[in-house]
Amino acid sequence: MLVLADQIHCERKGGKVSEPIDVSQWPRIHSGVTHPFWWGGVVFITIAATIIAVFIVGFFYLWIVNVALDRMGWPPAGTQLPPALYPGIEVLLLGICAFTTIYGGKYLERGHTRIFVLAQFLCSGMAATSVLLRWLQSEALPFGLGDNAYTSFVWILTGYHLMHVVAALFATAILAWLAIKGYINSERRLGVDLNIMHWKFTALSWIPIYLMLYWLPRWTQ
Amino acid sequence: MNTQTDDPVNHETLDCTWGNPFGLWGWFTIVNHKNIGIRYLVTAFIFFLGAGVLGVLMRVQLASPQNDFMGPDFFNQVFTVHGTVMMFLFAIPMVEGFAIYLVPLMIGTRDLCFPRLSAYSYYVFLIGGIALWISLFLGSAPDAGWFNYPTLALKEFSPSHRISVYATVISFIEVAALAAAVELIVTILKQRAPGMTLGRTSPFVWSILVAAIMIVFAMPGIVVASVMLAMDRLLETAFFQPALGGDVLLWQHLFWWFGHPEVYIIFLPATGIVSTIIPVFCGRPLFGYTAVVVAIISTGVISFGLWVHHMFATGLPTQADGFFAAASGLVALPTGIQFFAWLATIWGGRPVFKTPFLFCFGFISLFLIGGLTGVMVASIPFDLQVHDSYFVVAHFHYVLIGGVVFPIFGGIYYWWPKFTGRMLSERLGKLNFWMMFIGFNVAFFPMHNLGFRGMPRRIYTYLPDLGWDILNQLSTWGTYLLALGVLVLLINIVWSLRRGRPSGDNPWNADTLEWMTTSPPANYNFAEVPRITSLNPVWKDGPHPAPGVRGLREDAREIIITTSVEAEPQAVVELPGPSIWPFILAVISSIAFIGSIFSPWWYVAGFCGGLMAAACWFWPIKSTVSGKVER
Repeated sequence: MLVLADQIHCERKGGKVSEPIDVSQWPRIHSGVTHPFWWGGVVFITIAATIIAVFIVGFFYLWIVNVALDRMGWPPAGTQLPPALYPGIEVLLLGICAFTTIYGGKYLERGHTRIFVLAQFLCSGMAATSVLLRWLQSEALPFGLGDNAYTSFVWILTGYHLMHVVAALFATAILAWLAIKGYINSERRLGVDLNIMHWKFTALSWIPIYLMLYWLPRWTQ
Repeated sequence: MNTQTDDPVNHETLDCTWGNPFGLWGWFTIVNHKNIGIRYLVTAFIFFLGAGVLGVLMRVQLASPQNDFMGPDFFNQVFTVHGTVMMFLFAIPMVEGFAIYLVPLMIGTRDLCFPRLSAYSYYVFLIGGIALWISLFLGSAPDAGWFNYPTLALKEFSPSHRISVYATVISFIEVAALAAAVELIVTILKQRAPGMTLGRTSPFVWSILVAAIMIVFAMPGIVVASVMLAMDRLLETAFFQPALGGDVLLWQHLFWWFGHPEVYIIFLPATGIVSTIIPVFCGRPLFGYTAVVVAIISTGVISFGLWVHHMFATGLPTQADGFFAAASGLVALPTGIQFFAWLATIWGGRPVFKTPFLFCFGFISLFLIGGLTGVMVASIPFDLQVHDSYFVVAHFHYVLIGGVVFPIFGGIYYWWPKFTGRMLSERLGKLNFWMMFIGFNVAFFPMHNLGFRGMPRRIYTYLPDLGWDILNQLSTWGTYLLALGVLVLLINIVWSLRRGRPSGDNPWNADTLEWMTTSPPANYNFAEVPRITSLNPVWKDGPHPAPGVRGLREDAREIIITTSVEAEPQAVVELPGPSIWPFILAVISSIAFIGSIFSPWWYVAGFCGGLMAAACWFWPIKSTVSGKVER
């Protein structure tokens, strides 16, 4: 590697190099922050986060328009606010999902596949509970999709986020299965890295959505 | 062109490893970036021809007052599909097609980082495009303009499925653009050949990197807006219903958050093409490389601060208008830097007026006019006078045809030998250029005047004696000449494929890395992944490049990963091979999106099916090769 460093130094100065770079003995990587998949995951998460950011900007835009132009107030007058308990529990559940996948991944890295599988099962259970709560919450909402723009935002944002929870739950269950069957190990854990990234996003993104949809209207009324 | 004298490479094995499956089934499993890139280019160009025909039809209708060649209902569909196809199905996919084909070759790698994602992206684009065209033939095409403003686009005023087609198909096609952007970003940052620091990366690759990053941040605007509109129409949500707390201007903000960067998303790669071609035909490196790269980046950043200049007539607060007017003027600065860099390169070189260079020359003059009228409409009082008039039509066609189509045609002539190994006819090429150049100016320059004379855009006919007749006739004749010019390119292509002179590997004596390999390139691009010591590697190293990377397995799709800034070798990874699952996932995705025109449950079903297909796509299989597990 020292020879390689010298050559790169030579290249930086624009000089000619004579020795090829021989990578035949280099380890082949299947995971980690060097892998293009990890970078791709970051860009995909950036897109998903930008979509949520655009929704949030739209929400505040309508808030400002309705309040500043003295139209209907925000949420529009007469809107019953949605109950905040179940989505609050979800903050906790999704956080647990993120932590279990993170620590499951760390144990997998050390070769403890069984603990990893257990962590995936725990995460799947929490995620499934979260999906169930989301369903119960939608049943309990005191308004429909089209009652007004605020209620439309509640439905669309919780629905979009639910897609992430379901996708992450599905991926977590599959990863558990793959680990049991021996496809995943301490070196081959690319899907695990991506799943951890997705869970971090899913758990963290729920916090601003929750605060914005359920608490800000209460605090400002 | 393997230039190593002690060739250690088994070309046959490499070719087999990176090769494509055969047969009809194989066609749907191909993932090689060159095949996908060519498919993108051909499909986008066919869409361009179709949308061009619609443009000609509009000009036929407007050639004389009170013409009854087509009625208002069909005219509305025609101009909407013309604009939508040109922006969503031609411009972005065309530059992405160039990028998908050329970027791996220009940075010295063997494929894009996510080959299956390339394939998925293409199928989504293809299916979405076909769906839009079918809607036109069924008389159900969108008819509220390419920017599709509510309230006209709301169900109350457009009760048929036409606008729903727009809302769902546009969201769907953007999935393709986003997927391509993801892999272009990662490929450029992680797979440049050892030694290709960011400072030695060609301006074209820079422009693609910046445009791809812009896609990541801009496209969510239109995706969110389209989803909201689709839900307003299908599920009766209230995002754009003022009576229920919604706001129609929300659409305009979200649309133009995407729509204005969109112009630069297609314009910046076009400038990248120009910055690649001009030095080659002037026989000298690009003047002011660093300034050009800084200009590309700053254009990308500033372009996100311009969207409100499309909304000056909506009555926004004056301070906001002022900010966006200033920003609109500001974007002229980095564009001006690029202009002066090109002029200085030409000034200091020995220009050879071959067809690719001619198209760049045409670009410089036409975009200059489009840019200057752009500065004019950035002025709020002027904009209010010409808003929604033919002046604006003239302006954006100078920007988009002059600034994008001309460089794309230049790029086709320039890289055609790379794609096919044959030359296009220079004589036909020059004829092609002059017919398009003259035809374009005759067609669109009079529209400035028509705008001043008060002719609104998007009208299907007009009364006589308004002083518009002669200018409209002139414009229509110019359109015929422009269309014939495009036809000459098609003739040239057919001629070249049958009788074109073999080009050799580097017919233009070009400097960038894609010309260091064979034309057309082998499946594996480079027999030996090269090492880069210069911004102009072919000119500097010629036929004796520095020894490259050795030791990559020939029986596996291995590539080398490098650091994102200095391009120092970092690791070796193996890319996945051909698969049918990207196609299947694209079909399922299309069912989800297109079905949601009629019922939201199609989307739910597609989402569940998509999860299954994605699992199959990524499912690892155990291989017997060296006991390794491969995807």
